[in-house]
Amino acid sequence: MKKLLTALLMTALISGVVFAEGQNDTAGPWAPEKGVEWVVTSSAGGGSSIFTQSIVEIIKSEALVDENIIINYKTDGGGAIGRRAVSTMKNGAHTLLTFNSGDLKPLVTMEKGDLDGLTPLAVMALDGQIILVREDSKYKTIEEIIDALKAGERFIMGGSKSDDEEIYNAMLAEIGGDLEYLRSDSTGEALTQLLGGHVDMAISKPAASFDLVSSGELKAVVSAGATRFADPFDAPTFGELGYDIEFQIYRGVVGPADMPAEAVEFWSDVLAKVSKTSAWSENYINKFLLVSNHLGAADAKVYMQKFEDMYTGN
Amino acid sequence: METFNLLMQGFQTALTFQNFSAAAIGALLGILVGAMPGIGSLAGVALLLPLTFKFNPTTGIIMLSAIYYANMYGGSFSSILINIPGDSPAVMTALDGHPMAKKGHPGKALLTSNLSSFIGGTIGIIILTISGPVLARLGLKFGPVEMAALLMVAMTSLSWLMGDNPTKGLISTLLGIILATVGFDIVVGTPRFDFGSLHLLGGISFIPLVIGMFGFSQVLEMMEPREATDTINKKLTLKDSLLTKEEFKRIIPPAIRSSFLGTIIGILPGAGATTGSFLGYVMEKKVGKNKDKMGTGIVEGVASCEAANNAAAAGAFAPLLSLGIPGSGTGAVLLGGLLMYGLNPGPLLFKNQPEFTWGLIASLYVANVITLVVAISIIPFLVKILKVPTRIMVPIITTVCIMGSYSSSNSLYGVVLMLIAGFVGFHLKKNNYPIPPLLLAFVLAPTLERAFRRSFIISDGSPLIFFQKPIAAVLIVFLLLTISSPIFKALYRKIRGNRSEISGEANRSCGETK
Repeated sequence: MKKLLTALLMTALISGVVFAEGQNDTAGPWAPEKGVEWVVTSSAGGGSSIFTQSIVEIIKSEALVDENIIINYKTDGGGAIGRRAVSTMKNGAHTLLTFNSGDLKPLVTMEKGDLDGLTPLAVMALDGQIILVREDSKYKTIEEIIDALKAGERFIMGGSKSDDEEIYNAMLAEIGGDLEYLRSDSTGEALTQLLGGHVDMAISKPAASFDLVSSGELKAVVSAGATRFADPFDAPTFGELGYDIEFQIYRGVVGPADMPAEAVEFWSDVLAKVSKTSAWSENYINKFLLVSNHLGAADAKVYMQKFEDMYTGN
Repeated sequence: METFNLLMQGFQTALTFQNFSAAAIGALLGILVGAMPGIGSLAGVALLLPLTFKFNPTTGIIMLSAIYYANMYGGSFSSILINIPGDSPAVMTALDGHPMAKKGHPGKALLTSNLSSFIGGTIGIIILTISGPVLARLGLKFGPVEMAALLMVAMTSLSWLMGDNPTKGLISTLLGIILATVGFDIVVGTPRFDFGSLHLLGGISFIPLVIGMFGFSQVLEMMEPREATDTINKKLTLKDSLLTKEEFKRIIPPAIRSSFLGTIIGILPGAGATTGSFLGYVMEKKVGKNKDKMGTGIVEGVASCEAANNAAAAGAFAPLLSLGIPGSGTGAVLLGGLLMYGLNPGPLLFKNQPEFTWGLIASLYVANVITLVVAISIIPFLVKILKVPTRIMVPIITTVCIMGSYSSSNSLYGVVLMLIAGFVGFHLKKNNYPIPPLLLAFVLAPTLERAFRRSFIISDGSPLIFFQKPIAAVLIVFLLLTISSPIFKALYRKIRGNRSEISGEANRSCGETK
């Protein structure tokens, strides 16, 4: 009798579980059940911040997510702490992380991490870097700067702690001369130093320097991308000048490694919808001169993996 | 004149009933959150920011600025009442504020703090209104070299807080500097003293350190066998909280002096409210009427740092609005908030969105007044905290310490760090090592190191750069004079001993150390 009861109970339990699973499948797609935390590991006002603000704004205005989304800036330890916090989160369906190539590089080269610790959700756009000088700079074009460098003049170049330094290294290798890099915590800080005349030029993304260049305080001299930017960032590329310096950075979104599959699907879908809105192309992509390049969760993983292989040299 | 008209329009928007009540709610919440140790103004603004998104942009911004101000007010409350600074600028407030509370004048200390915060905030905003964009330009002149020189002056001023035993003070300062070196090297980006721990890689967090050193070490002290003198049996009424006319007069000069100093410090890129409140306090200790009594619990001590702190907070708006560059962590969160409202701080802001910008500045005025009213009206309830007996206070403060240190990083790392800091702090205090120099050195050292090393990158290793830039040169000369003034004084006395009449040149050198 007891055995029978146990058997019955087990069957009931199992069928209950199976039934619940089945119920879940038919109850429609997953959606956030509480407030969403969106982590940004660089300072407010920089490229990643503007990128994230723009997406959140569109999600709100298009009502793509019912719950509130809070942007949380975790810049400690060069962003390492924020990245680690997100990647180790258990069952993290309500946490997103802004993640571009400048975040991936320190993750794999210094923090002993890799993409397996995160779940790529989307690549949203490709961004480029540009070198700026002050309006009243002694040298107003890249040709003049290169000539002066070759003549032995000393230049100080400012830039953020992320992948900006790659451009400096490439310039040093390709052009040479007495060029020094002044690493700042954020692009904003690098631009402050340029405005105050403490550095001779600075590397920035168009989004972070948009106002300062539009108002004519700063001037673009050279683009580190494959093509020229539109006005007011119009300047020759290194390629045009005959140097093999070309960088492109992607802007993407990832979640914790342990993000449930249905949440991955949800966020990938929301971000795909964002990338198709006219607000996205007008107020972000066109305004800040990016290239729209949306990839869903699966493609984003493949794409980011290529960058990881490049950084680790595999 | 156009500026004035735009500002008046801004007031019109800010003073509708809806905006007014939003500001009042923001002020109340801001004070409560700011008064919780470990949350402080940075996390407080971040926590309450989403709340403002429920309103239309103007109302939201007004509420946001009320929250910002109220957080600054609240930060000093826990400092004064339970000797746990809510955020880093409030470290200075604790120096005189808590002794005042212990003497039985908690209400007076709180009121002094609020009034001087108000004065500081108001002067700061007025300067911002008149010459914000111009001043932001001047602030740009402070590059790495100038900042390094300024911070060297600040570092040497720490000697004025060292108390009776300079050796112990120096050891305490150096401990602070050592702790600050843990984490990422800020100039080349390599890990330092992390011992393989990711938490240490992120550096030692200030909030748990401060809560441990001030708060938890105090819990340990309270549990020691003690004389029964520290509970206040006096009845605390609202009347006791009011300042006498004479005390009020004593507050005004230091508050005004510190307000101007604070605003200027706030405008400098990367200097922030902590440096502001610290230099305000130190200045009062040098030039004030009651400078000898500073640190024993007098109103001037509270007034000088609180005024400077809030003035610096207003000053930080200048680079934020006119260049789009936040001067502090809190500024960065505010910038995030402004961006959410579609306001793009930068050189074009005043030109492209004048209504909104002046509305914001007007709402800073409104928020400041409302916060003052709200803050003063809750003083009678707050001072009751001091009447709670020790046996109940100990578990309460312990809980507050653990909560505060946990919430600063959302991990047990903060709690462990706080407990260690509390234990170390307790023994330092028992052996008469002063704690404030340690904490201030911890705050100032990274900025100094960064500026100093950047200066050498710019100059390719030549120290002459500190004399080639005019602002830096003036600061360095001032520094050298301050350091060498005891020698000049000794010389002066010797000469006077030999001769009766001498030229008074050495007399004018700037410092006198004790």
